[in-house]
Amino acid sequence: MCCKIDKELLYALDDKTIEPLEKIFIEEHIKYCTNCQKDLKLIAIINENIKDELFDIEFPDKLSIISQLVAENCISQMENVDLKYKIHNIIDTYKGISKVITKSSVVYKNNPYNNFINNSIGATFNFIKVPIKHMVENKINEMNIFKKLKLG
Amino acid sequence: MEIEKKLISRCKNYDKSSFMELFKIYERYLYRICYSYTQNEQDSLDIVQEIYIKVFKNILSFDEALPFRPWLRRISVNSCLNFKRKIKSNVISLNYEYASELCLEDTIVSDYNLEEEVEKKEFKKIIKAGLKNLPDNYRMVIALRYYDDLSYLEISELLKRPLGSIKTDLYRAKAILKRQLESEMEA
Repeated sequence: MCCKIDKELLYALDDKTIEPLEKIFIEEHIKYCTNCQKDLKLIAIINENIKDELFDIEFPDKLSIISQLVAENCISQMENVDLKYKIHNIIDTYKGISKVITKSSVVYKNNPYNNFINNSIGATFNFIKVPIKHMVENKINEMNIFKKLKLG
Repeated sequence: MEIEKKLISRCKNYDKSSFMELFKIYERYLYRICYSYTQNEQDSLDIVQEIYIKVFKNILSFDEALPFRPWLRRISVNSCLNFKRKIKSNVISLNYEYASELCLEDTIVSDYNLEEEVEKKEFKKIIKAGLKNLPDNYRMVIALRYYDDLSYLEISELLKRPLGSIKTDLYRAKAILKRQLESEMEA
């Protein structure tokens, strides 16, 4: 049997915008009307699904690129109109670059493996220092001998 | 809030990095509003671009004493409403059926409460298609109410329409979706 009640009341009840008196009336009605019970359940399903649908949106990769490009284009137009914006933004960019470089050098200085690297290089150098010294001395002696032979 | 004020004040000086940051903060919010309205990716991206340009052009007139989000929301809603679509975009993606079939298959394999899960997937599918086919003005009210969590009064002020008509739009939109659900359930 079709229920004659104003269905808008069900929607108002569901989203809690119903007037107090109407609320009492409709709640009493729902107790015995299976049609309205079914409708109210469907309305709840619709609400839940609408929310899911709105929050499950996938964001295209292009979105971030567009945000960046539009900002760049708009600013570049302004820079053409007034040089002071261009100067400001150039200085700002270089400040940013300088900041990044400073930060990265700090990271290098604080690198706990620096000592290890220095010691390794030092040890290698000490290891090859003596043979190289001998090699260079021998070469110099050889050169001196050749020089004397040539002169003689 | 204080950080945002500083950011906007820098934007007023046409600072490039600040604009990029501002757009980055709000890009998802804007896209979601636009997509809720158009139900189409390309149209939404076009409107988001339009909104960015409007924000850029009007940033000097923005009163920093007021919150930024409602100002941005007003621009977004107006841009959506003024957007003239060249092609009617109520076209369901070619991948749509395929994707939902995959989901159903996954459910069949993995879940024990099969009937309920299949029913849920079906409801989701019907609501998704139903939302695409709703009139634009209904969709805007739905987006503002469900996503932005605005009251009927706030929506009516934003759209400059009587409170009663906002309520009726939402009621009618849900009634349409309900009829679609009912007819699917009976079929």
